[in-house]
Amino acid sequence: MNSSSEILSTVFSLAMLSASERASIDALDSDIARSFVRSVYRDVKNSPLARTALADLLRRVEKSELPLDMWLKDITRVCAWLETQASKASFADIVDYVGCAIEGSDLQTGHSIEWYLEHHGFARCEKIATSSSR
Amino acid sequence: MRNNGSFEALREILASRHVILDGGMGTMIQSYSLGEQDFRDSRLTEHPKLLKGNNDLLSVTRPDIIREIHTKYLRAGSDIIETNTFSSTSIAQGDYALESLVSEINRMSVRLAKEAIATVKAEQPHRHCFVAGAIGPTNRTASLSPDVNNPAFRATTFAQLEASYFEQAIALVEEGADLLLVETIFDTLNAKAALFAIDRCFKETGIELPVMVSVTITDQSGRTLSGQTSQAFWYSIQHARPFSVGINCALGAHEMRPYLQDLAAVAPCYISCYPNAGLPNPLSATGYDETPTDTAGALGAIADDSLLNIVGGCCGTTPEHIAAIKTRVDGAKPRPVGSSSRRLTLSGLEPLVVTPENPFILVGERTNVTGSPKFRKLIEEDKFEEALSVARQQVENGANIIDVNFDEGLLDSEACMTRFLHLVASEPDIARVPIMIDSSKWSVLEAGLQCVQGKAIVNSISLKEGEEKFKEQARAITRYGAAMVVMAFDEKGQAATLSDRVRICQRAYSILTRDVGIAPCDIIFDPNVLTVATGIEEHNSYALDFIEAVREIKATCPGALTSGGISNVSFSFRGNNRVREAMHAVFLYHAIKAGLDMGIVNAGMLEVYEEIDPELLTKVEDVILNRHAGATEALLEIADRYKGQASDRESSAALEWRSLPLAERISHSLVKGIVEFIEVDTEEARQQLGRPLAVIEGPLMDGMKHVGDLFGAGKMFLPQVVKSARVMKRAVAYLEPFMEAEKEAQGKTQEQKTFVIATVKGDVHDIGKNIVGVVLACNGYKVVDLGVMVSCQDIIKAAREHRAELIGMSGLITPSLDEMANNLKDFVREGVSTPVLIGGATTSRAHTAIKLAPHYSGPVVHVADASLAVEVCSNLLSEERVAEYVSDLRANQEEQRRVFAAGRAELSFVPLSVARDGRYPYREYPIETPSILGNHTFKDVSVEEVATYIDWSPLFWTWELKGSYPSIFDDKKHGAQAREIFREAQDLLKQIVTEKRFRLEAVVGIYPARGDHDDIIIGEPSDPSRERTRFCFLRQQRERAGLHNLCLADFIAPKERNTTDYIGAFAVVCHGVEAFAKEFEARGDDYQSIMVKALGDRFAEALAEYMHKRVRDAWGYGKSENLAVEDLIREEYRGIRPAPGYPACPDHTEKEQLWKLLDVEKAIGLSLTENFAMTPASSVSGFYFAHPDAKYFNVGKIDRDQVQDYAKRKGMSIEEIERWLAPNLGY
Repeated sequence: MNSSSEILSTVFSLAMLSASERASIDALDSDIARSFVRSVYRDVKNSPLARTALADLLRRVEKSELPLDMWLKDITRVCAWLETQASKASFADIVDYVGCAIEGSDLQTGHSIEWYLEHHGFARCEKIATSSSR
Repeated sequence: MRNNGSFEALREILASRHVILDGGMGTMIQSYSLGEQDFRDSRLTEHPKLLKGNNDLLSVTRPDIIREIHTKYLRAGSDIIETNTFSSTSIAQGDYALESLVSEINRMSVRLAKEAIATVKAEQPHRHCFVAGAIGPTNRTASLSPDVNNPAFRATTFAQLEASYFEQAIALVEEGADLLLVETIFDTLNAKAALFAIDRCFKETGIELPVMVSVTITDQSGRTLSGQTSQAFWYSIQHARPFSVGINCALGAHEMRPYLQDLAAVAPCYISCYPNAGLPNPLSATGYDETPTDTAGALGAIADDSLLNIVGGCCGTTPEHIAAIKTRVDGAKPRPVGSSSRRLTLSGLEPLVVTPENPFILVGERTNVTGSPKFRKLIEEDKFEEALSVARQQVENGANIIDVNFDEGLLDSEACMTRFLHLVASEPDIARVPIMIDSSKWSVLEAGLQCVQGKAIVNSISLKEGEEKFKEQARAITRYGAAMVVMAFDEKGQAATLSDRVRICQRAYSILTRDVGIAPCDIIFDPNVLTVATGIEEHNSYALDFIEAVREIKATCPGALTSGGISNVSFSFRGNNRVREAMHAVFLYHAIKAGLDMGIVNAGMLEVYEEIDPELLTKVEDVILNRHAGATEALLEIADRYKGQASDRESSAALEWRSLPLAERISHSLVKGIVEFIEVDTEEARQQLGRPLAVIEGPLMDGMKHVGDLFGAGKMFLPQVVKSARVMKRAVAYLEPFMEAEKEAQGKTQEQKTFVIATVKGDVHDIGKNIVGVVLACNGYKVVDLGVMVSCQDIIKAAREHRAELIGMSGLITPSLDEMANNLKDFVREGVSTPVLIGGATTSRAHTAIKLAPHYSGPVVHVADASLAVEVCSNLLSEERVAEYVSDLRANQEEQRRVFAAGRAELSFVPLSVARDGRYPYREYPIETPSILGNHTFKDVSVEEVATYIDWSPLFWTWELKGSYPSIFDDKKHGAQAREIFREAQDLLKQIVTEKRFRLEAVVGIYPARGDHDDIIIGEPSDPSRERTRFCFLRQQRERAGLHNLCLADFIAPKERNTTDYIGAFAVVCHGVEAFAKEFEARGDDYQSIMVKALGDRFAEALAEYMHKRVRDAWGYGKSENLAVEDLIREEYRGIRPAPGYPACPDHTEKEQLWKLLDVEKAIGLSLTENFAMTPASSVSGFYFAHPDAKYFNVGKIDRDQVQDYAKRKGMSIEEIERWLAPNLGY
């Protein structure tokens, strides 16, 4: 498994993407793709709500000033933080959070995604409770 | 129906050992490094969609690979191999536009699996291997909406899913699969559609195969994606009598264990488990976390405890994993299969089992258009979301099931049922309980059954239309997996006598259990609750007959349950709730003793038998039990006495707290925000304690401390706290005259700590400041609020006059940061060292540490939100804690300064000329010519129309409720409070509209424009080349590694192109906010005052959105938009409207040019303070950019050369520019 397309296709349907969107994925560093896939795998694989998730993400990226790899890195960081909080959030909410942080942030110093998480938390996440069936 | 021997063969193996499934197909396919060409054969050469990733297609285009993978698994020890058909439904293949190949893919996949078995059988003749036709979940959910703003929407229907699954199942069965596997289920309703289709397939082909069912638990909440627990899931699909049930995918074996235990505890069939090999791990040899030994070890540990029968692997597993699993479980004892429960088991998101410990089930009756006028009205007015509150209330009041009925002549009952149940599915608090689908029409019942993922109850069927129809409907209900209420009706009509009731129910029981094969526990008889005390003698025994019928049905129809619509019994007393509730209580009391299992009631309106007024009880019991001929008249005689009264329970509950001790009453008033009794109670306290201050320091402060504790613990929310403050203020206001008198008499000095708070000079924003003031007042501080635009001298003066222990400074706009720094310097000069709290949207902990604290001798603390203010103040004023607190604070701030300095050393800028070279390259596009140019003013814009553009999310953020509209209403923590705020905001909105409290005005302009480096030249409408004025913008200047250095001027055609481009400008204001808010302030109602201001801000933003739309239309490029308000809020339109002071144009002083260009003050009465804050505060201003590539960005830090260049272009001194751009300076 080499290319970023192949890596992302393990969790996303690439059939939804346009040629230019697939090109932007092919240009991605495969290590970034792997980290991203690893962090969203459980929540996205086989979830039909993620069917258009990648295409939606790419459209957000297109409108922002930051490239895809920075978005994916930040998404991965948010997922790691959620894990430390024993919490979960939908992929769409994670993308929204990163988008908000990107729009509000200074690029290199000041408000990184970790800063936002530390100072503002993640309102739309929920704690992973144990099953109530017992 | 014939079978192919698979049942017997598998059972024989399972009697002695575990059966081994295969492993992951996707993982294996990836190892072949296939290209796009491998997914195309000669037919698909010109296929327009990219096909790589459509692994099921490989059965047709690269059968050799699929056959080889199967062979590997069989050689590794798999007994069952799954066909390569996970996504082989028309729905899933729709993504690739390959619906036409579905049958071929399924059939070919079965053939390939059988060929592989034949190959291995030739090598190992003793092996008996099986082909499982794999049926995946598709990529649609039947229970969840993919659109968070439209919870009633569904991307697919039960019927569509069933048809798609049927097509797949027929192909698999006809081609010779040995069993079917419905797997990776994330939505139980999808699975029910699949099982429905499989059942239809078996009937049509005459072939019956074992069906394995496997669910996916997505995380450690133990629930499916659609929210069900594993046991609830089992109850939902048990009707299909699966060969096995289990869990696969998403989790590793170890994490699956508790959910497997839950399933094993209830499922009387084989248990399967095929986990993932952990998470993808690029560093591992297998590409996943778990090695074969790891996965085998984890599964083996579960198998050792005899919890499993069928094991295998899912994503990430390989033939090596399967071989290891087979070795590891060899010798472990398979789980013995138990027997079916004889209890009625139902489910919503959670299971409901009728047990001896839970003998009587309440079915909430209020979501019924015939039974509840309130519910009917809401439905008729199309207020379905509000109607959900009726359902929620029933569940909160203890209903175990809710009955849903839309039988009303003027309603489209099917559509209503579908829509309402879709909405219920999106409300976990309601959907956790099972649904009783209630209708007299079969089509409505079926529509409801196709919407619920849980195990529901159908209410009802009967023998009314004859035996054949009865059986047909019963069979259909069973295929949907539901239980059924059977009414005591037959071909002759409704049973009214005891003997008819029993006879009909016994007949129905025999038909259903013997002829249709329905389990008795799924049959619920309703022997007809009929109205008594009608005045007609024959009706007098109806209630008693029902009770006796229940007794006899329970005795002669073993296992079946009984139910009744309880409120029918009391129809004669409609309008007299006291009597009706007493009749229900008595009727239930006796019916439950006779064996009644469930009753359809108004949960929450149930009287307690023992608490019925004794005289009423006797009379009611006489009627219910038909104890004497005059019982009806006797009850009628006393009934009028109770008419119009709330029940004892109701009225006593409402004012029960008034009998509490005084201190508790005061606390109750404060916590609940009840003002009605506070003055009376305060006076009583004053009488008791002797001194007014003792009342404040005693019960009032105790109550507010309780409020503070609840708030701190997250059990109360900000709006409730502000309401509590309203009560406190009323009490204090009552005591003030007494306190003044006492002060005069005793010359007492104040004892409360004083907090002076102000919004700094040049800034007008105060909502956050007001909230902090209220919160601190609730916690016993005396708050002196100086208002907005307060000069430093006024702050110092007030701090001295009131001997303030604390000072608070608030600011929203960036120039206020400078004001704060200057204020602190002045404080030092004037000898003030009082601790200072800093707050406001533009402030931050970092800025406070780096830019403010170093200027001051006393502690300077940043407070991020109101809820933190109390703790900060408490620490600063505590003699024990202050030293340590301030020491820690200063150490943290020092560290932040150190980090900042180190980071700043790493800042790398490019020269301004290089940044300009790195500009966003202007892309030509067809520039629309606006139909209007120049300035246009809009007075009295319709408040009702603009209200529809409101983005409600920030309203909740004002009250520190985290979440977005409307999904915040579902939030477990904040949902109820959010709904209350929203309701109150809507009430205030109505008042604003009807009393015309707000006045909306706007001025907009569109002008010819040309880019000149980082400036935009504004031309005259009549002569675009003539420079009327220009706006100066800033450019991103840091090294951006391949990214452009953006400036807003990049989105206007440069002057060199000789193209006429356009730019827009706007200012909007909501007048009337301050005046309206002051009215509430004068009444001591901070809550409404804050709400008015919050709504004012919402209106300003909505007006900006509204005007932007109108401008886009006038400009031309907005006409082709087709966007809903939600899309506008999400900025789905073309172009942007950046505002001066915001990240893309951080310089507030550009507002001065904007004001001149639009003549804003004259046009709409909106002015600028000395720091360029807009006043009135509820206002927005900015620019319109139409370029399709225009985007928002952050200028960020800039270097000295750009500051110098900018100062020159603006005609201002460098010092002035450095002051206004202080947050952006990178040096």
